[in-house]
Amino acid sequence: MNEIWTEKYRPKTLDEVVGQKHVTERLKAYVAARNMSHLMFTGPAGTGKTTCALAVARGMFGDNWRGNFIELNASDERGIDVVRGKIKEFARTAPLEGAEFKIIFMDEADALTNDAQAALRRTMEKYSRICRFIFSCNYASKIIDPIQSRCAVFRFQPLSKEDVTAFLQKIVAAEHVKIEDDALEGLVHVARGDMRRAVNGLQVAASTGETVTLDTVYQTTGMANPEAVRAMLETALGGDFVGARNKLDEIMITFGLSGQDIIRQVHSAYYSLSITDSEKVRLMDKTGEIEFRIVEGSNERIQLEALLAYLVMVGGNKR
Amino acid sequence: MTDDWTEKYRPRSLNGIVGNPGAAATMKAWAESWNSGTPDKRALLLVGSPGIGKTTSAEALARDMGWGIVEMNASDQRTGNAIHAVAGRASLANTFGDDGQYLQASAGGRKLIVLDEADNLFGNADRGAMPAINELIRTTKQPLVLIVNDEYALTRKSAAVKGGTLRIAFRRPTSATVAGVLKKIAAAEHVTVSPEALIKIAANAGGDLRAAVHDLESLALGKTDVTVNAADQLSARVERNDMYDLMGAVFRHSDPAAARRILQNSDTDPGTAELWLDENFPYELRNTGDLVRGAERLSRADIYLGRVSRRQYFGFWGYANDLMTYGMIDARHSDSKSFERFRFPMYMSKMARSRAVRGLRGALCLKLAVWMHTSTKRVQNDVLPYLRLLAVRDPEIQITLIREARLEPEELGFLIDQKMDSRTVKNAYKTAEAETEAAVRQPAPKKKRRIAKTAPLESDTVAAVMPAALPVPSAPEPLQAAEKKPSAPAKKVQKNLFDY
Repeated sequence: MNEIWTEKYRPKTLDEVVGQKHVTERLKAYVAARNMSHLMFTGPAGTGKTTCALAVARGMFGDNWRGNFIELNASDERGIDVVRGKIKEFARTAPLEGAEFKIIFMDEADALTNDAQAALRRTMEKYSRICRFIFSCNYASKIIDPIQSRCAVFRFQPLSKEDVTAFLQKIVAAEHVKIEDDALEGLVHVARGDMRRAVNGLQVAASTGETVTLDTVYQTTGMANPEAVRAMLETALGGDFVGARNKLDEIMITFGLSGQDIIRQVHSAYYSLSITDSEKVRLMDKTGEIEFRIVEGSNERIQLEALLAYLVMVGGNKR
Repeated sequence: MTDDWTEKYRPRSLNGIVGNPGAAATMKAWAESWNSGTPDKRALLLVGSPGIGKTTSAEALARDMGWGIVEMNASDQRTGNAIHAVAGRASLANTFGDDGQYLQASAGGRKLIVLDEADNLFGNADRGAMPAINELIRTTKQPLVLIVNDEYALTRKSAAVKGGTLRIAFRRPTSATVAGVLKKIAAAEHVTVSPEALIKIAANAGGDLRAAVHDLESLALGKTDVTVNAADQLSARVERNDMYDLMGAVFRHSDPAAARRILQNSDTDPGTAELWLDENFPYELRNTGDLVRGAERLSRADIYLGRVSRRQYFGFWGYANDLMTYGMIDARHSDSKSFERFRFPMYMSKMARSRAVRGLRGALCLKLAVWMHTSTKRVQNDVLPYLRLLAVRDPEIQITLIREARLEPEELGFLIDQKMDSRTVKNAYKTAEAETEAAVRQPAPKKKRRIAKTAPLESDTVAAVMPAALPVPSAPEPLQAAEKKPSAPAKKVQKNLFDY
């Protein structure tokens, strides 16, 4: 059975975690002491925050860690109801299997509303004897001070090229992937310190079964930007507004993408468009304005159309 | 309390159905073919816009044939189990027919199963419904009728619907036909309606017979005659005319004052006007500069509409109207002219389709997010594109996703852009099941098999077990867990992270 490599090779223990030595050493001390304070992991995506939280729980509770560990994602359950209802419910029940406390892992905590964060303060204090929190977030500044002050804060660094390379090489050996050296380098470069992206890229590039070359790498990372979005942009730049709008409808219907999803993909596709940098800058500024209008307005398609019309103009200047 | 007129004058027999003689005849022939054993196509698919007699025809058919009827519509919860239950009820239980006659299924008394509004399956609430419907189409022992407005919403998901049903399209009756029906009803109710008023009401309804009857009833309420002047008061359904006038004032006559007046006096809300302008402006403003300005004005108008709905402050409507009339007309700097026919906005119907897709995609991403320890947002943006490529290229990845992320056929089908009953999807589930059996080996392989088979249908059990099944690399354990867990209420399925 072929597995998803990001899960198959996710480190199980703190020792296996790549990079972040300054973090893992301190975390190991907690595990050794069988005790910990509330923790906060900050840092960019794909640097090991979730993996470390899982590893701490495994180390702390052994084989039965699942009973004393719960994983929540704030960006999916972000409201105050979650804090008032579910978190409290879990926090106040006693730990299982003779453990001293339970761990609540709150991933992407910067997505919690301020109300929800405020509601958490009491819960953290009231149940701190039997329940510890691990928060993870990209930006500590989005977490209110009262919560920050209750946590030991750990800053995760973007992974170094060497770390990512070494980890990919381990997978390459285990999975017998044939890959050229510069292709591996390319993968590491494209990943920009995000291990998940690197491993996903490697698996997709390897899935053709042929030797992975630098070309395959760029092709696959290009494909991760759905072709349809690119085609829509090019149709608009080519001056065909109605055609581009039909493509937009197709994307919204076939892929079910929301306006904001599309904006995000449009934005990341700009970097590879063949227009001048100063045109890109104007486009990006316009795109930001359009995203703001999607948030403010009532009909996201009309807002995206304004962007498409603008692209028709940009393309027209060039023609 | 008496029935409203649409109930009171609903035809009881297929002979009373107006405007669709061909459809009625085909239905009749199909029904009679059941007398000589199960026909090739066990299901009818009635397709057509609202209010033109699809449900009425199905009920009339059952009555004409002396069959009982088991009905299910969008107000019922339509999970896979509920549909199985309905089908079971149709084939097992005995009931009394419409005329009070005792009908015994076992003795040959048939029952017509009617799945009304079958295109409106609501994401999570109706999960598992699609596989159950597919199975029903193939295996039902009783005649089955599916009724839809939007055929595409069903066939997109399932090839069985397309291949296994006899499709019958219902057409909108003409205004003359509608007027004829209205005339008969008016006579029966002893209401005098002038011929002009009849035509006006019929034309207004645009082929929706049910709407026309409602309109007639509301106009005749407490009166003995209806004049054409009274019929003029019918405004709710004339918006289409207003909108054509608005398009003309904006794009042909460039008369902002008139356009503004039409908007002001129309019953149409600015959101609808916005959709009409949006549909038509690219065909009208052909010059690039005009196009960009037009799009910009609409975009600004839309922001005001967003603020109206967010703050419930309707004062902003005025500015939206200004931008849509004065703003849109001012957008044209060139003297390019268009002679195209104005188009009816398609956005609403398109978006209705996308809603179902969004629901499915959301459910898929949530499953993957829990399995991969991340958020649905990250799955959508960072993982899904990769995973799609992987799953398309490598069937074994599909099996991993079935076994570990517990994807249902509909979700896997969405991921690899295939229908849920396509050969690829079916094979993946067959293989996954076989591997599970091989891995389990003992004890009680029979029991395992049953669970593996039903698992995709019973989303509640599967989803409830997901968090617990996260790290388990071998399949038997999640299955055992699924056995132990009582099924959680279907509604909260996806949020059951706390079912520890």
